Amino acid sequence: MTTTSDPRPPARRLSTTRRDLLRLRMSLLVTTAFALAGCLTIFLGVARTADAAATRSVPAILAVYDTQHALRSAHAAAVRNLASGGTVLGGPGVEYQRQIAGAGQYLTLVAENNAAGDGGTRDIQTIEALLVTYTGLIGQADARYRDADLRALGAAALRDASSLLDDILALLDTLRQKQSAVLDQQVDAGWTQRFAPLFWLFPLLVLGALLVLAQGYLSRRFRRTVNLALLLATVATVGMLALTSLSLRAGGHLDQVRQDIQAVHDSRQQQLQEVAAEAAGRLADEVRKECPQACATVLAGLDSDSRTVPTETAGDSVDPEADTMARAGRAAGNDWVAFVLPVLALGIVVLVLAGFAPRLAEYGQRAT
Amino acid sequence: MTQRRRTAGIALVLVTALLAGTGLTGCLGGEPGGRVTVLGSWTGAEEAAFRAVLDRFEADTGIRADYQGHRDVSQVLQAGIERQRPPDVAIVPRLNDLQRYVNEEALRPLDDIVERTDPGAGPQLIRIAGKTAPDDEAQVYGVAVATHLKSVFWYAPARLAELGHPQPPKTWDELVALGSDNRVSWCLGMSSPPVSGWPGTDWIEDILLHQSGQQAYEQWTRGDLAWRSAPVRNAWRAWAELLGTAASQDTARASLFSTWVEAGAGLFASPPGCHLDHQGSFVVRSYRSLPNVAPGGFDFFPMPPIGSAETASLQEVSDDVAAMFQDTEPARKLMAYLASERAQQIWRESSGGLFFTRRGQVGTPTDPVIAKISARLGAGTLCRDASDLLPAAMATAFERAVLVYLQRPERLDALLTELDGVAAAVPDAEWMDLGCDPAAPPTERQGT
Repeated sequence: MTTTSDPRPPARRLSTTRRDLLRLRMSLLVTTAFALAGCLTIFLGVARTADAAATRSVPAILAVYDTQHALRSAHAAAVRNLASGGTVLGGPGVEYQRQIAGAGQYLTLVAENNAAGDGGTRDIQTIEALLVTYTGLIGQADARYRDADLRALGAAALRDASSLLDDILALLDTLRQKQSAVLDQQVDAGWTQRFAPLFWLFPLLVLGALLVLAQGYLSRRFRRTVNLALLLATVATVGMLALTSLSLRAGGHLDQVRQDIQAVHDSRQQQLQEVAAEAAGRLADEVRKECPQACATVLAGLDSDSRTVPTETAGDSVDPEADTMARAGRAAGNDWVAFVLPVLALGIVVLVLAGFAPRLAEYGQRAT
Repeated sequence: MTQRRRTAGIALVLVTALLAGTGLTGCLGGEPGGRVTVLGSWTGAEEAAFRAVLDRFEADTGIRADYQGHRDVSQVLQAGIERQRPPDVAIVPRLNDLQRYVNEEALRPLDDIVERTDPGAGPQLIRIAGKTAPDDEAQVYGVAVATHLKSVFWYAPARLAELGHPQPPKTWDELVALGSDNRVSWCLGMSSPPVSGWPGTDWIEDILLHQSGQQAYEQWTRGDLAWRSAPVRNAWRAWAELLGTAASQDTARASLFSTWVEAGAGLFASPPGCHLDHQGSFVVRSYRSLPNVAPGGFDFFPMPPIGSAETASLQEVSDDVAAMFQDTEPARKLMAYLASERAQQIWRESSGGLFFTRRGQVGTPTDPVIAKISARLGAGTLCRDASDLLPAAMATAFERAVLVYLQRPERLDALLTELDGVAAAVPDAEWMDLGCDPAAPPTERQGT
């Protein structure tokens, strides 16, 4: 600094003003950098979390429900068709084939979106293996039903298939719980916590305060009513604040998604119970026909399973799954902000430089 | 300026230390000893007992053991191998699965892991030759970690005594006479998805072993004895004669819809649902879980010799066999541990004494029924469950034939012809020649 070595009083006073201007400008630029870093970090953190939830966890959870429903429906169709079909043209039926194919596709969807890592992959592999066994048992039942003398064996194979299906559905429950646990972690992640805004809000508030301070300083020192460039920089700061606060809304959406999934769960449980009860009722009729005397214990169990317990479904939504996906999409739908934030920050930098340039030029010339 | 630089230097050092510390903590919080995945067939209480064994392994080695249990372990294992994602270690109830995977070179040999380090594990080791290797080049590919006694009939002594049978039968004729008492009924449960019918195959195997002897049994299990041969046909007929299925279609029909657990519970129902249960020693766990089953409320007697055969010392057993599919250090350590006496002692404790092994039994258990099972596993000749040895296609056909036979005994000839057809279609490399081995004598050390 050349002015510090100048002993003359007027030059010292002029250099102090220039120094204050430089410090103020530097403070604004550094704070802008911090504000941008804070805003981007938080926003990208929330965006990544919301994106992972919207594109992986939530679709995986919903696909597990779809798999369960397809399997229950397939089983009910197989029992219905085999019990009522003829010995030649019988068989588990087209609806069974369609639902089994659907279950396979939903399971593929779960695998594609699996958020539960190796544990989830292992569960999916196990479920796929057991599905092969399950369809084998239905095939066995079909073969038995085609022999009029072996219908009891057909009914027994259906009961075995039903028991294995319960195992598969329990494994799907476990898989869903693993995916839900990942969603919970995503919703409760640091980026979406209440304290997170402090990380980006504080630098922005400091930046705003510095801009107001600079405006006041320039106004007092140079008797200008308003520095237009700094005013625009202040507006851009407010813009950054507004955009980054969208992350708060995304966090709120994610929290709501978790509640939506509970509503889907309640709705799906009711559907699954109804389909399971239908299959159990028909199977009980078959067992009663084939083993009227000595199967009281088995029949008591099937009769119990065939009685549905009505459950209250939460919420009024007609299609809770569509609502859940839409909300998850909204939580993850603000990617453009990540591009606008640096533009605004760059604008602030340019405006700050532009706002200070005339005064520094003025004092630079006087100082020299 | 110097002060400012010093402050910046200190801050830099602190931040670096903080980051390094965080990284180090992250590393330490991981899995220092590695990880091993284990697939088995145990669920429920059996899984809990096995997990206690794995917990001790984890505590001793720092290796994390991830266990997954399912009743259709064969299918799950096959899917894992087909997708190139097998578990590190699998414990399979069907021995023939190992033969298939040795043929496919999917299994890793265990000779230097168990055989050379633990001589006491000898009776548990299973040597298998690949499809192209001669028999004398067989290697250790499996360790029988748990063994179950099968050639026994369970009964409630008080219930039989009430019917005028204070002593269990000692000969086949006495057993047939007991079964023909109209008040005495059999506990029959064939349902056991996904392999329903195996309780019936146990009957046929046990009868064949005690009617035609070890040689015929071993010929049959390695595919050298036709299903339509006299020893096999006689075993099926003897079973029908004993059960009286032709006369009692209700019992046979009900067995198709009952699991072996449900059927066995009939021993203790009031009034009794049945009086005699042909089942493996693992059934004790389900008996114990029933309400109102007092200690001493049940006992067993062995399958008697049939006819003039000297077969009293032969006993059918089944094994749960551990095998290694990924040759990693954690998997090697787990295999050595599972074969060890230490692991088996922990297993015995965690299962309430309901754990048996081919290794010489240690001490004398206090429970008289468990002591009797241990004594039988330590004497005579132990013959492996035939349907565990048979190739998968053969075993499945056998299980299905049993179910059809129970419903339509008059179709026996057609069933045996079909079974011979299946046997002819099975490649030679899939048959096993393991048959029977002498039991390891018990050791003197005091057990629990």
